[in-house]
Amino acid sequence: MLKIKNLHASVDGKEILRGIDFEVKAGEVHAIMGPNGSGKSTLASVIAGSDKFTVEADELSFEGEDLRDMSIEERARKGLFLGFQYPVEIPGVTMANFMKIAVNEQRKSRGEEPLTAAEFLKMMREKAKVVELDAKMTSRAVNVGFSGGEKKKNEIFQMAMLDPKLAILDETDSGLDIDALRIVATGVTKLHTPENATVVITHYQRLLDYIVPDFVHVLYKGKIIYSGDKSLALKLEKEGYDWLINDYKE
Amino acid sequence: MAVRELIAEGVLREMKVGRIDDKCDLSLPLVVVNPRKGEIEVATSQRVSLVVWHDDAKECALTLCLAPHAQVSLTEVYASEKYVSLTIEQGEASECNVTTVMLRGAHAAYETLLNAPHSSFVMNTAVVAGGFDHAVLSLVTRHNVADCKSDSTIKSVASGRAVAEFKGLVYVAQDAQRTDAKQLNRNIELGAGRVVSEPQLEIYADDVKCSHGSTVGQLDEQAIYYMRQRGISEESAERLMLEGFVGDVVAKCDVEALRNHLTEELSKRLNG
Amino acid sequence: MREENIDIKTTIEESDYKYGFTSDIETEFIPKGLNEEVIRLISAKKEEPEWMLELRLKAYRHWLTMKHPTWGHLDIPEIDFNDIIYFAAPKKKKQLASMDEVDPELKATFDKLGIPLDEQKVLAGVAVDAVFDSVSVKTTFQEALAEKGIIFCPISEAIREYPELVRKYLGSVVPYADNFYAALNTAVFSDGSFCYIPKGVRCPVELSTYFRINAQGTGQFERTLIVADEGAYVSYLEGCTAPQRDENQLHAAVVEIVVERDAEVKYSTVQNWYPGDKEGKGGIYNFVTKRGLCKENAHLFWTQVETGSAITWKYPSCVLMGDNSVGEFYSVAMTNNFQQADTGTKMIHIGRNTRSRIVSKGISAGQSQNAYRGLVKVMPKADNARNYSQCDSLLIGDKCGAHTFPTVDCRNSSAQLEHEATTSKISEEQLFYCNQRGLSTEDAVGLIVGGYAREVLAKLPMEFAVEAQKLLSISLEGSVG
Repeated sequence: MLKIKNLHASVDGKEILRGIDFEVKAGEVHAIMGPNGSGKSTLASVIAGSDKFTVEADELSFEGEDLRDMSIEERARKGLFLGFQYPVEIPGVTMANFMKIAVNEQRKSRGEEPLTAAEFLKMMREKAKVVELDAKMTSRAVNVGFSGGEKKKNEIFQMAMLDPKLAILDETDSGLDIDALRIVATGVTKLHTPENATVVITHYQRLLDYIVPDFVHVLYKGKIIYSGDKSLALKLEKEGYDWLINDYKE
Repeated sequence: MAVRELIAEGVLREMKVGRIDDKCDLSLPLVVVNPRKGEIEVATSQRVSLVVWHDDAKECALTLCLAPHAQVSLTEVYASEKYVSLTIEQGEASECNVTTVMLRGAHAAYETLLNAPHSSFVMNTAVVAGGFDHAVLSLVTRHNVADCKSDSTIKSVASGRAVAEFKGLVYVAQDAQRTDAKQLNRNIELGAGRVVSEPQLEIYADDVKCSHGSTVGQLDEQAIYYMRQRGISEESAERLMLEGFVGDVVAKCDVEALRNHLTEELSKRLNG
Repeated sequence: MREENIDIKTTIEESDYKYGFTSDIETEFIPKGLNEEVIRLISAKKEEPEWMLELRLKAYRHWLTMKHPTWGHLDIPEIDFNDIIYFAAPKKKKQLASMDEVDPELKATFDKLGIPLDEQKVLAGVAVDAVFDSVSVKTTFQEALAEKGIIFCPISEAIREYPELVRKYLGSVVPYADNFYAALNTAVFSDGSFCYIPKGVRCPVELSTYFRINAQGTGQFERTLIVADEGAYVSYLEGCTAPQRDENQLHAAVVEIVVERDAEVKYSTVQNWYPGDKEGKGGIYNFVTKRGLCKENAHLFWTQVETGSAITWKYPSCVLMGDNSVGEFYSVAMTNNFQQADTGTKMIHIGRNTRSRIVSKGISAGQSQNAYRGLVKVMPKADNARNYSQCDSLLIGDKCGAHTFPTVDCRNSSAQLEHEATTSKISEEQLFYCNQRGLSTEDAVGLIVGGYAREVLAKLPMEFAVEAQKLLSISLEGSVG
């Protein structure tokens, strides 16, 4: 589904990703962990197509198509979803209007008819349940005045609405209390199918109690320095990154 | 003309300038179309929803007088280029809520006189200037006595080669203690547009809460990125943001049918 | 609670002008009045080259065509420009060989003002070019500076010694036709400072100049020119206190700063001219034009603490001509009794990626009027210009005024500009809290005002920050407590 070979990314001449190889297949759940500043969020942004970075790679493809030729919205319409670490506030634009345009533009790109107002409302009500989101929220401006937890729930709600093939969730667990974490994580699990895939970027093992990864990768100084199964996350939780980093230095 | 349709559809009732009291039929919001000059007087404790509509090019000088405890919700629409001045005189404990939508390069000069205590003045303005428009909005809020409140937000979009000018003054007289005055001017500048903003404060009393702010900027890049990540095209995202920016103002209009109409008009202007 | 209010007011209004002493020195005058003869006389006394006299005359002739500006939020009594003495100098006795030879009374006056003129101050790292009634009397550290190629001398001397340099830059930032007082200043300026920092040189000491108005009825027209050549750095301090006088005195200085590519200049002012008495009688009129021109990557800081003068009218400005240049303006303006101030800045963004920042803190007490006036202008080619302005006013008492007159003119759609202003007073709760902890009302007011102005004071060089803090408390000093 997602194929990355020898990916380099830099901003203002500073190299942040320094040769990443990474592959995600349908049905898989990957976790990317690593200390602060290792390039986790950059990796997510580069896949999403943020133009802040200068990107070089031997391969950067999604479903067999070169991502580099695509704009941010084209990638999104191919089924690539990024759950933001800091969802931005958009004053004056209601959630309902925002989602309606997003859903219908995505449908249009697949040659589908736009949803009618009634169909759309029904869909919103259903999907709001996935993350126990108050349906009234949809009449408010996007993320404006939302609490930290609400913002993250809102990200998963939008993921449910857009039904992506690959969802990359950037620190979706940060700043959540234990109840909100459970709701968000259960929501993600509910949306997981053998046809789609999820990449969770996280600092903590606790999210992985709910979203059980098939693979865990450690990103350090712009490279994936170690990959393992879910037990790696537990080991990292217990022992930290030092043993890996020390190994890496040698 | 849109306003004629709204009148014909029975959404608004046309009136001439003059006195508004309980002898008037107020079952519908009132609308004054292209007034030239004169005084609209709102009687004591009278509540009224009023629309002033401009779509000709003749100069206009109006006075709106609020008797004590009167409550006026005024929506003023500029669909043509013209010079308009509106003086608002507020009596004790009166409330005046003004929503202004400027769709063309008009010159509008507002002066609000808070002449009696406990009166409040709220103004929300959206100015959309495109092409070669030169839109000027001046707003002088005079706190002449103590214990009054004013809160104005003026939002402008200047695109093409248009100029959007805002000249604001909050004046607080020496006796106007416990004044609470806010003034905010936010501008989005696109293309070869130009924004001029003069948000002034003149304060002669010490026990006051006064603030003003002025910003000039563009659409939030982060927000555009966010929307595009959800599959919305860059163009739609920008339009959506602009509509949201001025849409907050239109949302304050208390006449629903007019609100919908203005939303459409603004959307058309922002796309054209 | 009501009483507390009165306390603050009397505390502040009753504070006296601490530096209101006068000294008695023989003074050499040119007769009152202004005409071409007087200008020729000034030029001759200064032994100026012909081009300088020509410039003065050109400025004078232009000035004659100009009208006194009226746009300030100020009430200015009509000034009779023919009732002013345009030149006064302490009589030259002989060439001074050392500090011991300086007129003892003059030296004593400086000492009272705390001017670091003596040798001890070498260690403190301060070089002083003291202007006493229009003529520089003593310059220290010139040699040490000369080693680095730095020129720091009276401008009259610079005109004679470095005519090429002065001619290249004088009037290049503030042309004589710029405004009424710039024209007047160009015509009649008596002296001032000239400072040149050569390419790549960091000036090792804070340069400072103290001005002092002394002779009765004398207008002072300083002219300052600072040039930081490519990659140079200088921090320049200007401070002034003036003796108490009944008569209004006009002070119309021009400060020009050229900040060449990659250079950085910090210009700090503590202004404490005589503000007039409690009835609003007397006091200095301080009408100043200060402007800096920034080339590529240049950085100019203006910091000012304005507590004195009956009328202050000035806008230290930055013309951000070069790409990536930065202008900053930090100001505390305090007015009391019948003082008036109309001050602020202009940031003109011409180059790309230019940035500016404005922090203005006004404090009004008594029956004074205090206005911030500012302009942020972004020209069409100034891509990615950024400005942030914060203008706060603090009112003490209900007879004073605090005003904010900003103008934003933006002609480039990649600019991001933000202006904020707030107005507040010292709350009774704050005072009660301080009183309860044992502080006198006077101390509490001083403390609160100090805290309010801190962001600006922190931008001053250490040495000046202390003096500025002192000045603020002096202005608030009184009988309560």
